[in-house]
This record gives sequence, structure tokens and C-alpha cells, in this order.
Amino acid sequence: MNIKGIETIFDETLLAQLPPTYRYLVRIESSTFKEHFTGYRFSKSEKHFSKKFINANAYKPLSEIVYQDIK
Amino acid sequence: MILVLSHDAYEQGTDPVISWLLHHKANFLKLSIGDLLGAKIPYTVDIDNQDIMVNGVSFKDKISVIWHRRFMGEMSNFLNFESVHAANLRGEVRKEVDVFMEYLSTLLKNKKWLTSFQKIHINKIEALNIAQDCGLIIPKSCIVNNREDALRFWNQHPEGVITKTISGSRGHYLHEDDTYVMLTTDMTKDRMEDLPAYFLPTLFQAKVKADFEIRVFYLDKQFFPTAILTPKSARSVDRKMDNNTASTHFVPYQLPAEIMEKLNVFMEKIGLNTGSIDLMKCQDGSLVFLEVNPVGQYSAESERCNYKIEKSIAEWLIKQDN
Repeated sequence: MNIKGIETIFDETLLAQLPPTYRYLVRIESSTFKEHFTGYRFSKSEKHFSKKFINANAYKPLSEIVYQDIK
Repeated sequence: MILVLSHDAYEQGTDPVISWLLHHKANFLKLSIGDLLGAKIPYTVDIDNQDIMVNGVSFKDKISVIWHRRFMGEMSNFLNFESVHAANLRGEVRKEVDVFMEYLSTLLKNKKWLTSFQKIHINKIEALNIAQDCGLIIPKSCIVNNREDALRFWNQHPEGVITKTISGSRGHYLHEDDTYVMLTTDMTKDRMEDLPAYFLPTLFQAKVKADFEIRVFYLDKQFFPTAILTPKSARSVDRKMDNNTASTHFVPYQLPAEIMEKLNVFMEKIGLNTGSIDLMKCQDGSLVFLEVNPVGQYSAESERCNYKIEKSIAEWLIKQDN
């Protein structure tokens, strides 16, 4: 996540109507903001009732078999 | 039957549970707000007989357990009106749907719910007081509308002060190539002094001198606690900024029995049977309660600690269905 700084996109007139938290927004390069899922390829799964589906990859290996062993 | 209320589109906490429901050949159905509002499924809510009829068949009796997760999150898709009266229309249609959903939840109130409809949004400030009543330590907090009182609070807390939203919501705004996100903000003295004389009520909290943060996924008295370890030199005021850095590590953590007991009482008092609880482990060894999110994300902790939380949720739902 590429954080570029703390700033706001709102002008003073609008900020006067908002809580102070809106003055200190974290500016993140959109393509690196994980919640936008930029670069992800979605599928769909009727079984999951999902129009945008990602088959999650295991974070840790599930076995100790390594490629060299099965050659 | 298990009824899953969630998104039509990707929802990282729902799909892995459905994979386990499929694996166990469980009897389940996922419904989204789009299914109810998007003219896809013909249904009638029979008010006289207090039943829900789909294709002339009672749906209500088929359901035994409901997993309610981020169901209304896609509601905004149905509020895009191109009209000079758009703001009025949005408000009115939203109210119609809210009251309808409230009635549906009343019809299904005798079912077993994993997060009841009324508890999907809790008052996070009230939650602090409930936690305090249960014997948990909470950060010194206040809601202030003026600079003078905010500065007084700041002066009383030399460890520092943060601010975050009262509701717990986190807005983000796309602007050109960047996204602007509202996270927990460090309120330095300069920032405090720059505050206008009066402002909208704002939550301020004293900083907690913490060694690390603990995220606990809670499922009907089961605890899945994860310590999130980031070196002090690389630590941000909001840990969401550190989650994916190389120096942050997620490790399983054993909560003290006394804290688990207090959290059980807290969850019962607040009316939740699941949620993601944030705690801080302080330098003096105490644990400070920050907040609970009724539908928090859990996949990072589940994967990195090998907790398989998604499997536990699926098995809990199946157990209630049998």
C-alpha cells in the first residue's frame, strides 16, 4: 500500500460542516489500495450465489511435497 | 435450511464459508438485497398469516438458522436516481426498504441468528460503556464540539490523543489516481490548535501505550485471538496501514481466562454471538478494549494463524440446522 500522506480533498467551506477527521484523510495510491481489488481477476460461481468470485489461495502450504520430489 | 444473507458480489468473509457448506453438502441458500429488490425472485409476504411465500410455497418454515452478514451493503445500488429529487427519493426508498427488512426480521425472529438483524450496527460508544460495566478497561474517551475542551483533554493526556469516527464507519473517496481514507488520526498539538472554535461532535481518545494489538474473532463463546506484531519504529496510529507490511506478523495468542470471561459477559450484554473484537496489550500487561465489529473481516487472521475460522462458522451453522 503506497501511502502518499495525510491531507484532505475538501475545501474549507465544506470542512467547516464536517467533523475534524475529514481534515486528515490518508492519501493512498488507488492501484495499491487492496480493498479496490485492482488487478484481481474475478470469476463467478453459481454454487456460491456469487457474481464476482475469487477462489482464495491458501496462505500457507497445505503439504510438505515440493516440486522437486515429484519430478 | 441455512439462510445466508450477504452480497451478490465478492465478500471475502462469506464465500469461504459457503465453500465449506458445499463441502459438507449442507442445505443452504444465499440471498442478497439484489434478490429481494432486483425483480429476480417473485415472492409475497403474507402479513395475515405472517409468512413468506416463494412460488406459492412457504419459505419461512424451511429456515432454521440465518447467517446475517453485510446484507444491506449493496443497498446503494438501488438508490441511483437521476432526478433533481434524487436526495428525497434516496431517503424515502431507503426508509421503505429499511422498514420492510425490519418486518422480515420480525417474521424470522424465532430462528437462530448469527448476528441478529437489529445488532448488525451497534453503537460503538455505548459498547465502550458496556465493556467498562463488564470490568474491561477502555481508553479515556470524550465527544467534544469545541477547541477549548479538546485542548483541555489533550493537555490531560501527555501520552497523546487520537480521533476516529463516532459510528466506526470509515469513508473512502476516490479522487484522481488516489483514494482518501478516513482512519484513526493522531491529533498532534498543532492539529488540535488548528481546530475551529466549534465543530461537529467528534470522538477523542487518549492513546494507549500498547505493545501490540490483538484481534479476536468471537463465535458463540469460541475465541480466535491473533496478536498483530509490528515493530514500534514501523507502527502507524491505525494498524490497518501496517497490516500488509513485511514487518507485521500475525501470531495466535492465548487470552487470559479472566478476559475471556469478561468478553463472554460483554458479548451477551450487547446481544452479539459473533464479532471481531479489538484489544490492545499494554506495556503494563493489561488489556484494553477498543471496539467490537459485528461483521468484521477475519480472513487475514484465519489464514495466517491457521485458525480455519470459515470452517468453524460453516460447522456452527450446520450444527444449528440439525
